[in-house]
Amino acid sequence: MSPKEILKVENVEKRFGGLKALNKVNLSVYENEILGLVGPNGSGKTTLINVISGIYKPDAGKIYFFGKRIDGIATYKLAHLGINRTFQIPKPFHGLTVRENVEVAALYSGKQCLKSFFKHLKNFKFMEKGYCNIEDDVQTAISIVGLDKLQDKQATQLNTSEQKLLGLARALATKPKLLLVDEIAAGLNQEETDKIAEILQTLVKKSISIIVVEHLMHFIHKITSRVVVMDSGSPIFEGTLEQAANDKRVVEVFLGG
Amino acid sequence: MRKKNIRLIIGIILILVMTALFALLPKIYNNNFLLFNIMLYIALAEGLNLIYGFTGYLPFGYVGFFGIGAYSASLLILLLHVGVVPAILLGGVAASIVGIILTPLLRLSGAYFAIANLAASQAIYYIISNPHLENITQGPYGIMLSSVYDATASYNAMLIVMFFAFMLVLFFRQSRFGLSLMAIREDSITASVAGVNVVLARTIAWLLSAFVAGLCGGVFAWYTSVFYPETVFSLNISIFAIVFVLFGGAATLIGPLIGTVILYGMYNFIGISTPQYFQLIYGLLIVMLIMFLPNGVVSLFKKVKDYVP
Repeated sequence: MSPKEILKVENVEKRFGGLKALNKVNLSVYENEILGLVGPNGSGKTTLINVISGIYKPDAGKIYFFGKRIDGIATYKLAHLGINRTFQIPKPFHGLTVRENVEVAALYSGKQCLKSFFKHLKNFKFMEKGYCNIEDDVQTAISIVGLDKLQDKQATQLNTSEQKLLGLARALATKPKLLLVDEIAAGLNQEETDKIAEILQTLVKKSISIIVVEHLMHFIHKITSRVVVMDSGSPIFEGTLEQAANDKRVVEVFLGG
Repeated sequence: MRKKNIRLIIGIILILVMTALFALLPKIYNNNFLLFNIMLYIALAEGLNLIYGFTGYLPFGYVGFFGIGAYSASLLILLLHVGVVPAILLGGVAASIVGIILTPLLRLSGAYFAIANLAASQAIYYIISNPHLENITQGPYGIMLSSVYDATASYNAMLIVMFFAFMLVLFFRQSRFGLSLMAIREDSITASVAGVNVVLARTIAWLLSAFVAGLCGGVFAWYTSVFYPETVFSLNISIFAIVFVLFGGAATLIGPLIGTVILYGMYNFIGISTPQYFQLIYGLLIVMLIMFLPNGVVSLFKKVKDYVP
């Protein structure tokens, strides 16, 4: 049985003025996989993440998520559908505490919460505590990334690596099915990188599919089963990292012809 | 979670105490006009707090909504013979409708929003004070509402508006809706990634904020009963409300209250007897505040900040 395709990107294009940042991109993500997205600076990796997560609207092409068209849908709706992301430069809610940062996202973690509210309303149990208990979701997300001890601190007091973990916790609190991770390991030391690799690997076991954008090849090598190499806005290679290293075009792109 | 509940109880007690205080004060203190103005500025500061404190938009033209409320309520009473109370409520609605027209301004940010909002309020002022509209708005000659004048009733109406403004801020402070607004204030892109409908949430805050200012304007018109366009569109009203919020501390219930009571109290204490010293002290106080307490007086309560409503 072939694995189920959850995200399908079809001929997506994105232009900034005269620059074609994405040119006819085709890509698929399957259930329970970590897909690595690599390529030199300016090859369109982050733009693709921005298009999939709804920050940019594509100029052409289609994107399907579980068979449903999602291109051009607003970011907050995509978050409700189960697509979430982290940012290359962490963008937490600086003035709020770690817990509040995650809480905001947990409030919108899918419709289960609202559904259970109406169910309780029907049975006249809505005064009962816990019909829509987001506290558990918040604590789960925080403990997955290991920020339990810092949860009363303001986000602005965290260091970069902690802020990146907070971004991950915030994304997880929305209970995503697809997680887009943009250069999370950049600027972190070996120990921190290993920790994040471990977290991402546990997430896949909880049936979250992940796209990882990264320059650090040992990180990509450790966690991904498949990579897509991009250059000047188009994918030029798809396969394992070992195959990529032996591919002529890939070598040309990275080392120059 | 427990801290939050304690904060809610403190907030409710504070609101009840303040409301009771202003209900009883006229019996022992005869400067009714001063008490009315303090309540007016508390309500305006709390209304401005809804949009500035929780979403970060600084509405320099906030007075525009106040003026719209005053004029709409007055004209409904004079021209269409609507009852005073419904006219004031409709004045609030009219301010919100102008708020809807101005929602595109929310696409701007920072100083650009403040300037555009200021310009919008001036545009409204010039439209209303236009002599060609004399048959409707009396143009620059002002409004006379003496037929419905009632000092006690309008004082009590202000009391209710102040209570309403307090309750709105407390709701924002305590609720999940308020939390998502603060998330938008901190970073609107991250907020939308977290699943917050940014446009809808901030529009709701904006319209509620306008509604409060409109109510204040309507009640002010009823209380003073004679006013000119420049009275209700005076930029000083915006500036006062902004300074009071900043001084006390934005995004809290108690901040704008502290700010208004201290600064407006000072304004009346020394500003009227010796205005030359007032400007000096006022200026110094604001400079000191920005240097040492940029987040307002409430930041003094650092240790108990989780309990400050």
